[in-house]
Amino acid sequence: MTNKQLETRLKVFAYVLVGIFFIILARLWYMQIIRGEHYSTLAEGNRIRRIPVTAPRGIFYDRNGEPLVSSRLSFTVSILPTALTENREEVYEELAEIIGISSSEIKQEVEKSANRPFEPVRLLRDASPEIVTKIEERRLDLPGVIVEEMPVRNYIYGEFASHLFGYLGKISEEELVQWRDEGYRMTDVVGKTGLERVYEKYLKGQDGGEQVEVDAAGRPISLLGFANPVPGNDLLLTIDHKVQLAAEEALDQQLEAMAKSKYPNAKAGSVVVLDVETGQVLAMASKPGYDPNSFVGGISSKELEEMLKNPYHPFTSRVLRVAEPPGSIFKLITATAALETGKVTLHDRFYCTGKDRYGKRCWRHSGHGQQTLLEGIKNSCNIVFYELGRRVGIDELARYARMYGLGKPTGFELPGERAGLVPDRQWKRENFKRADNQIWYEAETMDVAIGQGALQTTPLQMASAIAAIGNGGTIYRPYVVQKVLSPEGEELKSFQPVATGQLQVSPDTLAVLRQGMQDVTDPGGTAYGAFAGFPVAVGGKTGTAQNSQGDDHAWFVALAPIEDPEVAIVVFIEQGGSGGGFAAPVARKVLASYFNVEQKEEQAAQKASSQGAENESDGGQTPSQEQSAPEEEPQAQELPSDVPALPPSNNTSPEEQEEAEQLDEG
Amino acid sequence: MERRLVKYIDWGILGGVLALIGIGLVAIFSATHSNMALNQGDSFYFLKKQLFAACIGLGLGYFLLNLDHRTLGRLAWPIYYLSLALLGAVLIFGREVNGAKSWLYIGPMAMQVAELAKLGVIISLAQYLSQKEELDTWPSLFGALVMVGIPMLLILLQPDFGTAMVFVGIAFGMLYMAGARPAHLAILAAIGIFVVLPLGYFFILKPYQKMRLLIFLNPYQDARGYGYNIIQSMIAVGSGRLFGEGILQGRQGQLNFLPEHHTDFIFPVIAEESGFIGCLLVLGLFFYVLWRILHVISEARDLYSILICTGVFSMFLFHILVNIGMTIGIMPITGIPLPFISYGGSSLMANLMCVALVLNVHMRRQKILF
Repeated sequence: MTNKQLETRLKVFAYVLVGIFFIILARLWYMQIIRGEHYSTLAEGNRIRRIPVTAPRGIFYDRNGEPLVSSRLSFTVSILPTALTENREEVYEELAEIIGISSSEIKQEVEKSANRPFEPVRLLRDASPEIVTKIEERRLDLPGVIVEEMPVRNYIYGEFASHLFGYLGKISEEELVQWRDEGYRMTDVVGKTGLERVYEKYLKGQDGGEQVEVDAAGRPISLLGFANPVPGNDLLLTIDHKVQLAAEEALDQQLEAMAKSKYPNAKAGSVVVLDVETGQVLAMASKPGYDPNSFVGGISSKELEEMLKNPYHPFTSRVLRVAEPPGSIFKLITATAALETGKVTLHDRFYCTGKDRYGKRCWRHSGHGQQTLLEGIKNSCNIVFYELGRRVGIDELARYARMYGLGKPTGFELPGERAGLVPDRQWKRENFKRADNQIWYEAETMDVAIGQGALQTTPLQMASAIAAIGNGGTIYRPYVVQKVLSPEGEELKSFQPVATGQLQVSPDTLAVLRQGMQDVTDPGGTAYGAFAGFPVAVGGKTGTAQNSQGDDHAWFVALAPIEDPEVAIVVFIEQGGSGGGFAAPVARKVLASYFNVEQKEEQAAQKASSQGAENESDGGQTPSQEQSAPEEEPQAQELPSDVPALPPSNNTSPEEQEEAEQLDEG
Repeated sequence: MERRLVKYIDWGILGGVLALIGIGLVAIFSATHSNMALNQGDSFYFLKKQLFAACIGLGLGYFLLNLDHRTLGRLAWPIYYLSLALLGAVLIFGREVNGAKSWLYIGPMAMQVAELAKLGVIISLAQYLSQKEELDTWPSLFGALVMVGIPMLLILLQPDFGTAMVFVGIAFGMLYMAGARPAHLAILAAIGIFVVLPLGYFFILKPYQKMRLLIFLNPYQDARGYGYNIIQSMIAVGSGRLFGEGILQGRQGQLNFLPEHHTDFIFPVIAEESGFIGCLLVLGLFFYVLWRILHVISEARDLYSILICTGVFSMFLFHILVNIGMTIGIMPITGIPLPFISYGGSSLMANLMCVALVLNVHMRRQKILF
């Protein structure tokens, strides 16, 4: 090799050497000087972990300040993905054995949050102390598994106003997308229904966090900082714990008892109690219900499926999401219309033979004989109200029904409220195709007059309407949240009664209605049996609404005390057979609780009342007899062909199938 | 050692290397002193072991200095076969660590034979090539390729892809210096990249090795798994900024986010704790040592000497490029140590012996007159 060749090759080596070092230095310059801050931040993020500390949700207080829904501390079994080691599969297996969630499910959960390895993946909420102990014992075999102490929702009374309160669940992907800007994270639990949902943003509070320095295995080395969680805001409700409890219990007991009665299909019902002067909801119960606590630890899919398959829909609030014909309780509204339009006076006499000239029947086949308006209310005589409906006409009847707030949602806080239906000429025109079906027939007016036909109301609408009778004519929007309070008790938001309507009705008319209602619970009235011996004067109205799907629905509405009403109550039992027989006794129990009628006193009184009922039955005007009426009535012979006002029999509208005999009893 | 020779020692190279070893010791201490699980409760455990290896390495180097390197050249074939024997033995008797049979245990001693084999191949290849009349035809290259190919294959069987690749670097440098035509070398490189690599990728590489190559292209596709190393390493390097976090203050290294941070990933520890300034110092020392080796080559008195130094130069440069390159994301993760700095006795000793060879060449550059 010549020196020249050597020199050339050495040059090449030198160039390669310089080139490589230049590239490395340039890269280092870029990473350390230009992008240094960026990497430094990353290193900080690596080292410092923010462990979220869940804020306790706001508390629900009843109107007297008693907590109904609170939070308690619980243990949550989680996996910290960054702290998992190579043997993660074994950890999953082992953990699966302890917590009873399959290892594939665990794996799936962990992988779902792969892009947030510093956030704990919560696997089992509200773990039992036994599980926690087991995990602590096997700590060393379970790297990456942590037990977090965090507050969970505590529904103190279990299945109690559950439809009102709602329940919590893991945040869904859509919710996360929607609320991410408000600080929601994938691990959050949010209100899914009820007040938990509606007031979610108030209730949530602000999660705190611990800033912890960790090593590569995710083991905390030192605590750098701590941000205390800010608890969510509390709700001061209008609910009266005692009354609500009475409503829940009374309804439960009644439905249980009815399983053995002649109406075994009565499996669902609701109670709503309103303060007549404000529209505040004192109690709101719906059955069947559920215990929202069962969602706290994450409900098993099997349990949930079972609940969803329940034909009585335990998640549906029957106070506002069920609209059915109100039956005879609507007669109060028919009476209002008739009195206000001057189509009837208190002295007018009607005569009930059990059947009117069109062949329409009274629930009492033997007839009520001569009746005044007040007696018609007291006895719930169909014949009287068919006649009143005929006299008033559908236009006025519908106008008054709407004035009472029917046909549209009351505006209550919870979503999903049904509007119900006040049928009239326009409705028929808009909802039926064939010309002859678009005609409004007088028979339909008469059906509406006794609360049947296409008429549909929710229990909440009726409660608000009845309250107006008690308060001099103001329709209040029912509401259940009085105040939103900060954890320190500071008032953040306050809700006042909102009048959504005013009855254009004279005080005299309302007085007549109240008188009629009082008569209903007096001896001889359709609810006397249920209220005999009750120390507070209650004014009520029974309703038994025909139901093409099964047994009749039982309604009962009341104002108490009737001379100066404080509360309005509506009891609705689906397929309850008889309003006076089965709905009214529930109302009695609830009212007994409201008026603090002593237990002993009440037991004695009830004994008397049941005796009274028996006596009544001897007298021929008893709940039991009334109950039997619909059954005795053959459904087929309803449409005598000689009735001119009736629509053609090929009519397709559903309400007509059941219009014929509106068998209604007190 | 003869006094006359001592004055010809290239003190620059020796000083640079010792400085690098010193920096390495500090970095190793920083990386391991707080990791009790690794250092068995003794903060100085790794430091002491590395220091011990350095002393042995210097002793061996001293021994080599006393030999005329041409004596080794005469022993080229025995050295070559001994290297192959060691590489074969490790495949049979070696203990598997981290999925590769690289360690041969002789009594209480453990060594990575591939490190020694590099030295052996450099010596024997230098001798072989220096005897060749010509190297500018394909057939004339064949013998050299086989000579390098056999130990490479044995190392690939361990498997240790990174170290095997070092042989490619050594061979290319030495062949070029020995007079092989650049065009031939380019064609060989092309065959390697476009034929052997794909074949190897699909038929030989283990899944984890494939993954490493893919991850190099996009580390974030598996940030928790295979991409973890590279991301953590880059975070460490970058967060060092200009002056570093301070010795023993690196967040990435101290908290063990960095994997293998006393061996293959020692450079990020230095980069994090001493910043760009520290990197500049380390790279400056490396550059200085390599530059001096080129100088030694320029003054060497025969082709054999030139090729010895070229082999050592190529090996160091390859190690530096690949090791530092992988920690800053410009090279795939292959797991070869950074000379003089990474913890590892076999590597340090072999490297010191290589340095001794270079010094030897320099010392005996002039005809010595008796």
